[in-house]
Amino acid sequence: MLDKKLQRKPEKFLGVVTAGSLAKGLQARIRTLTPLEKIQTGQFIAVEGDGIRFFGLLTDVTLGATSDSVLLDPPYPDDGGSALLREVLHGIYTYGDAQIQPSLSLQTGDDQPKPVRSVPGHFAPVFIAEEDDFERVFGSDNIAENGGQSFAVGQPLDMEIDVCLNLERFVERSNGIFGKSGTGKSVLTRLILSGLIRANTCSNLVFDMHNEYGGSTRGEYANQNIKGLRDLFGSRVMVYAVRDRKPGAKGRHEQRASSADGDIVIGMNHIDVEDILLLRSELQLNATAAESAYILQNEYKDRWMATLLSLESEEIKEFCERTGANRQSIDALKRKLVASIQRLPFVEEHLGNLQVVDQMVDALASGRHVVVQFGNADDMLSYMLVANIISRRIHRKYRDLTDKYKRTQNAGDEPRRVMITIEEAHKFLTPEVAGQTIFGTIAREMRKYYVTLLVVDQRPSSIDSEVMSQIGTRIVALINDERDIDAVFTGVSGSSGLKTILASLDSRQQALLLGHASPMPVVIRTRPFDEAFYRSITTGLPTTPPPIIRTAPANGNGSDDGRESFDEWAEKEWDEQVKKDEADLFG
Amino acid sequence: MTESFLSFQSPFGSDQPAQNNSSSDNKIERLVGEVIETSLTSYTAQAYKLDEPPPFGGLVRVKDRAGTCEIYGAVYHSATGGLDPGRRAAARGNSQAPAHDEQVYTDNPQLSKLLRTEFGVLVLGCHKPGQAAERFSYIFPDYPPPLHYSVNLCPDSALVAFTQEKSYLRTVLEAAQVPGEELIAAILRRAALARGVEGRAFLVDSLRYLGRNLKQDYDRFRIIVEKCEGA
Repeated sequence: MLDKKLQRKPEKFLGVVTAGSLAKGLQARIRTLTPLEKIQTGQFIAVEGDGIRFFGLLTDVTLGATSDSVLLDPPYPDDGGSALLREVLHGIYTYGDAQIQPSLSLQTGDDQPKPVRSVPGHFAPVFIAEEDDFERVFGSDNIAENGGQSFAVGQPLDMEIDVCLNLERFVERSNGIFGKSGTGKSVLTRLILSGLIRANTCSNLVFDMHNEYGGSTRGEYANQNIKGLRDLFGSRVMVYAVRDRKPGAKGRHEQRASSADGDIVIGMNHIDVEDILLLRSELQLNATAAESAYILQNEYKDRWMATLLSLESEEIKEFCERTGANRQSIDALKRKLVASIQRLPFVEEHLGNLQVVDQMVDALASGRHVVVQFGNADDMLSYMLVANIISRRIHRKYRDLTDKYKRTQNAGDEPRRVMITIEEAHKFLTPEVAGQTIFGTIAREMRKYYVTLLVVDQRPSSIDSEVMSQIGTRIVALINDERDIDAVFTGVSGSSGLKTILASLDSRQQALLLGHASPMPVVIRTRPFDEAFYRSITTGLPTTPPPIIRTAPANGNGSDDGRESFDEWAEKEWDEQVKKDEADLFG
Repeated sequence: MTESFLSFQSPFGSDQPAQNNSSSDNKIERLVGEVIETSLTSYTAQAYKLDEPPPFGGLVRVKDRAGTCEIYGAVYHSATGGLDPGRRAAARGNSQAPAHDEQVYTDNPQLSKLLRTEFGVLVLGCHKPGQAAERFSYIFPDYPPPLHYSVNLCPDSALVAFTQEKSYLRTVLEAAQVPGEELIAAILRRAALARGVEGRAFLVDSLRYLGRNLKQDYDRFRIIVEKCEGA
């Protein structure tokens, strides 16, 4: 016992355990001489029991006093002799109690910490954790050095040591990145995606509503330029854009928000009633109107929408009489579809197949990564419609692939894991629609089919609690709203202490990491997304990306449409820019 | 000698020039008196020189009869009066202010033979045979100090060593008929001064120890702290 104490630095000694329980956490009297101000919540704590070392998080510090008379007649700063009095009172009459939430225990002689099932005895010494403890719990591998599956996502608040996330465990479940607007969700997401791409753990499909992940974007500060995934990983990352001009519209090429490997176009025949149901609140459709679409679909199969839009008033009347559908609902549905869906630049009346989308899915299955950009079409409606249709495609494909793999049990047939990143996830996963949308299904059960979600959201309380409870790893930046905080901790045991920590995070570059891929909850300063990161993430990358097996014409446009490839296009753009600059400079 | 006692300075007032007279005077052990009334817990001694008792809170030492056990105690009281307890002193001066207070003793040389100075000592601990030189037992000795044995005022080095452990403070707290708060403050001030720059840390440590024993009596504790600081 004594030598164990001696192994630790005396300045890390915090106090001794005095009370507590496994459910409510431990209480430790803070050592007399440690200034209370220096003890921050969220710190990683080690408790040395007899034979077991416990790891936990400091969740709260409370002030206490042994006698009421001290508090009734406190030493005031303007009293002459109060400096000495205050100094000697601290730790004797007044004291601090630390609340510790234990999460892991390490038996002497064991290598791996296990979830905690006991509490340390009275007066077990409590220490602020040292680097060795972090390495034991979080592993010391840095992906940049050895290409392993643990990825440094940041550093603890008061130490220069990497906290690593186990990426293999990370992709086993659906995950969430939460935080108020402006707390660095996008940077965190980009960080995690970079790690996943670098380690080649799974294929990533990113629905990039605000064009943040593909190409480089401006940071919030002046002169800050954040590299996109395409810049970092080259052709391993394919960028697709939702078509934002109807064919024939003027200036289409020039006004594009960013360059892409292919345009996504969707035929009305690929829009399901399910998609319309998901958009109910966006389209302001009532339930009956949405349900009427089912009648239409029964009648006209996949051409139901195009047919509805072409029906004259008389024909609608006749249709309603024939099928018993409600006339007003059908009219309302038609009105809304004309106003909202038909005008969308990426919607065609009929497409034989979803070639570009299918190629995307193939690219994912063969190990590439895809960013879907929405360009000018970044309204919620387009975003939800496209994301839902593509994800349904993936869902179907992966069901087939998994079934095949189950049949053959051939290792070569094992599907490549895909993680779908969605922003504004609460729109897809509200309790009203989560039961119907494809994302609800994926979150609940697609883990078995090699598809998981990375949910990026600022309003977790709007996400269906059934979905939230299935989320494996949560990375949470600052959240203030009570309901959101409660939602984030759905399905997490011992969360009361973590709530205090969460509310006290900095609004920038700090996050609480908890769940499946992190052995225990921990507060981190997130790794900066800067030049040093670019270097470490790109050094030693294999030069050739995995080939796309079945499809992909050489120009990378997704279809053999005779347009130049992305690289050719970029080169041309560059040459034009150089010529223009020269002309400006030298006349 | 009385002057050096009265001019005791706080070790903490950095703006005041430190008067180290008292501590430089306390480098060596000094014979101060003789035991005239004794018990296990406290004893009274008569100072050899009139009006020159050891200072209040000073650490004094007496040997027991076997000559091996040294009994340590703190001066908690001192008084000067007539040799004959039945006779009170009478005023010697007249309405004319004397040029010097000391004048009355030169004018009446018999006074020093008629008056005596006594001091009371609270027994705090002892140094038993076989113990290391710097170690003390903070328990009562087996026997009280013998009558007529000589009382020595300990040097600072012994004071520092004796106050290293804090349990003597409990004895003072629990002693009856002793001005406990004042005595503790006096001992701590002297011990802190003897430590020089480390005095403050010593004072805080000692007061913390005291605080743990006075958890239920914050007001008393507060008085002691104020007396220690406002020296």
